[in-house]
Amino acid sequence: MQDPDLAVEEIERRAADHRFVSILVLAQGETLLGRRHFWPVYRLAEKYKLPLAIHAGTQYRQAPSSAGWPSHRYEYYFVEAQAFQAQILSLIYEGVFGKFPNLKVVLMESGVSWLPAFMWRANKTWRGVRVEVPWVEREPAAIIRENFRVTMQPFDAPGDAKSVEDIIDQIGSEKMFLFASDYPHWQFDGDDPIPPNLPNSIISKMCVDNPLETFPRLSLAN
Amino acid sequence: MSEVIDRPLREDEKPVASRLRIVDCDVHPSLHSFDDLNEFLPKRWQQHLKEYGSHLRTPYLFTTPYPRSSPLIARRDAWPPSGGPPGSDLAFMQKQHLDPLDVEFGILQVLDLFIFSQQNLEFGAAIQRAINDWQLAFWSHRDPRLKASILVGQDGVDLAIAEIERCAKIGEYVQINVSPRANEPLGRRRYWPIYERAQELGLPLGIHVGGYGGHAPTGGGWPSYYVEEHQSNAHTIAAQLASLVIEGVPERFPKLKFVFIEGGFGWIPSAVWRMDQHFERFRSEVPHLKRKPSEYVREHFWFTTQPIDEPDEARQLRSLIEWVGIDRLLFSSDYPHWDFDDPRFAFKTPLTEAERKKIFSTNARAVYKF
Amino acid sequence: MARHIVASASEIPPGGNKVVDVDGRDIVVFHVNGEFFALLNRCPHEGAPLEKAACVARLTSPEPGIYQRSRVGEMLRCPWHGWEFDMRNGQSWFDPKRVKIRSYPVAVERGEELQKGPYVAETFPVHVEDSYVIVEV
Ligand code: FES
Repeated sequence: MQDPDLAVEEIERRAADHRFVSILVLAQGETLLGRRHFWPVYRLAEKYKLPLAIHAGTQYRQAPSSAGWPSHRYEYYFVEAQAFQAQILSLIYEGVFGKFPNLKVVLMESGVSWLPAFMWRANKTWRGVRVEVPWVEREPAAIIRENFRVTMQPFDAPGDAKSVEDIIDQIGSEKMFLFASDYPHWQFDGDDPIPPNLPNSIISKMCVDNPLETFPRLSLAN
Repeated sequence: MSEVIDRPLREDEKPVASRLRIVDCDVHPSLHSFDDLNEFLPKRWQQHLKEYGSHLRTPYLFTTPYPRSSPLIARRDAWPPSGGPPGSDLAFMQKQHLDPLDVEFGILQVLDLFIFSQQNLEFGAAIQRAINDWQLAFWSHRDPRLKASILVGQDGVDLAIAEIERCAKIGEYVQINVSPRANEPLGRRRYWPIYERAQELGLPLGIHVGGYGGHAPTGGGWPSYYVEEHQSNAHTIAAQLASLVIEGVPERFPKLKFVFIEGGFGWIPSAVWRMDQHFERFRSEVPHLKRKPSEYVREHFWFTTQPIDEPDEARQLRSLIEWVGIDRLLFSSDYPHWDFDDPRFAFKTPLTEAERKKIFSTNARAVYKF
Repeated sequence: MARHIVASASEIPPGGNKVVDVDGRDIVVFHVNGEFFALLNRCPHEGAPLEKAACVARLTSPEPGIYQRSRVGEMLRCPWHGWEFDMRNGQSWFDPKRVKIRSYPVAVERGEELQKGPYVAETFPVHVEDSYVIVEV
C-alpha cells in the first residue's frame, strides 16, 4: 500500500485468477487505510469481489499505540487490537463505504470481544460529532455489521459461557464471524481452534456459510 | 435508547438536600487568562511564556491539532456570564454544577496550557508548579469541596519528584497527576521513582486523557478527524493500563493506586480478557508477573465513568458494569466539557441504592481517603 | 389540549428564543426564518437546556469533503453532546422515529382574534393591535 498505483496494477494482473480471493494489507502501515489515496485499490476490490483483508502486523512507521513503544512483545500484541479499531474508524469516517458500499473488510487476528463496547462508543461519538463527517449517514455500528467481518482467533473470551453468549449477542450479527486457526503460528489456539463456549448456532455459519459469503471467489475458484 | 421526556421533573430528579451527595472525580477549572499565574510564576518564566509560548509536539501554538466539536470543548451553556472561558468562574461553577448536583467533593483536573505536553521540561515544571499553587489559591481555598491534584510531567523525573515533595509538605492535594501521553509508556522503568514516592506518600496516581506525547493517536497512524481522535482517548488509556500491568508496576509497588480519568469503561472487560488470554503464552517473557493481569487490575486500578457507554439496551450497560466490577468505578462529570455526564441521567440502566452509593460516592472516598 | 398565550410575537427576535412555563413544563419557543417553534426545553438524552442549543443548518453531504447546508437555523444542536434535532417536529437527526424532543403546535394570532378565546393566560395582557404566540399543550 506504499504505492497505490502499483497495488492497482498488481490487482489487475491477478484479477482473472480466481485462486486469489482477497487483498491482504497490514493493520499498521504508513497511514490509516481510509485515506483517499487508497481508494483506487478499494474500487478494484469492490469490482472484483475481493474483500480487503487486514491482518495483524506492522511496518513500524509509528509506535504501536499512542502511549509509545512498549518493552514487551506481550504488550505489543495486546495493543495491536487498537490498530484494527483505528482502521475501522478511518475506513468509515473517511467515507469509504459511501463510495464503495459493497466493499467487505475482513479483520484477521484482531481479537473479537472488544467489538461491542467499541461499537457503542463509536455510535455515541458519531451522534454528537457527525457534523464533522456528514457523509457518514448511518451509525458506525450498522456499517460495521454490514461491511466488516472478523476472524474468530483469538476471541479474547470471557471465562464463562454466559458472558460469551452476551458478547455474541451484543455484536448483533452472526454474519460477521469467520473461522480461523492461525496455523502454524504460535498464537494458534491448539487442538481445538474453536473458541470455548461459542453457541452451537454460530459454528456452522462461521465455518462454512459466512466464509463463502465473504469471499465470493471461493465459489469460483475451480 | 431514550424515550421522549415529556413531563415535569420528578421529585427525585430535582436537587434536594437529602439526595445522595456525589463525589465528582473530574472537574475542570480553567485559567481566566495567563495573568492568573503571574503571582505563582517566576518572572523568567512569565517572560518565556510571553515570548515563546508552548513548545509542543503538535503543529499549532494555542490550539489542538484537531478542531473540536465545540468551542474550547465546552458545553455551550457553560460560558460564565461574567466573561472568560468555561470553568474560569468559581461562582458560576457553583451555581451551575456544584450546588444543583449536590457535589460533596470535586476533584480538579487542570488541562490548561498543555500542561503535560511541554517539551521544555523546565518550563513545564515551572507552569506545573504555578498551576499547583493556583489550584489551592483560586479554587480549594475558596471552595473546600474542590480538591487539588499535584500536576507533574513525568518526563522530567527529578523535577517531578521535587514538585511532589513540595506539594506533599503542603498536604492539601489528593493525588498526583501524570500524563497518559508522554515520551514512553507509563510502565517503563524510568518513571518508577515517581511511583515509589507516590506509594510512600499514600497518594493515588491520576491519569486524565489528553495531551500530545508525539506518538500518533492510534497505532495505525494519524487520523483525519476529531471524531476518530476522540475515540482514541480510550485506546491510550487501555495501552497505559497494559503497560503498567505488564511491566509489573503493581507487582513492584503493591500499595500504589491508579485512577484512569475520562477513558470511560466500556473497553475494560475485553482489555482484561485479552491480557489474560495471552498471559500463558507470553508468561516466560514477563516472569516478574506473579499473577494474572486481571488480578492486578482488580486491585490497583480505578476508572472514572465518563464518557458513559450507551449500548442499545439497558441490560447491556448492566452486564458491562458487572464485568468491570462495581467497585472499580468512580463517577465523573467532566464539567464543563461538551461530553459531560449528568449524574441524574447518564446511567441508563437501573442501579440499586447500594450500587449508586458506591459509584457516586464511597468508591471515590475510599480511594482518595475523604 | 389547551391553548396558552406565551409571548407577544415581537418579544422573540429572529434567531432568539424564550423559555416559558406552561403547566409546570419548561417550554422553549424559537423564532427562525419568520416562524415560531415550541419544544420542551430538555434534551431527551441527558436533559440539557435547549434554550442554549446552537441553531444550525441541516448539514448533509453528497460525498466526502463536501458540506451542504440547508434550512439554515432550523436545526438545534444540543449544547452538551451535540445531538441534532429538527425544530419543526423535534425529531433527532440520527434516529428520528425513536428519539425526539416533545414539540407543541404553535400559532401566531392577532389580539382581536384572541379576545374571542378560549385560551389560557390570565396573567398575560393581550392587546387587540398586537400579535401573540400561542402554544397548545
Ligand atoms: S443532553 Fe443533549 S445531546 Fe446529550
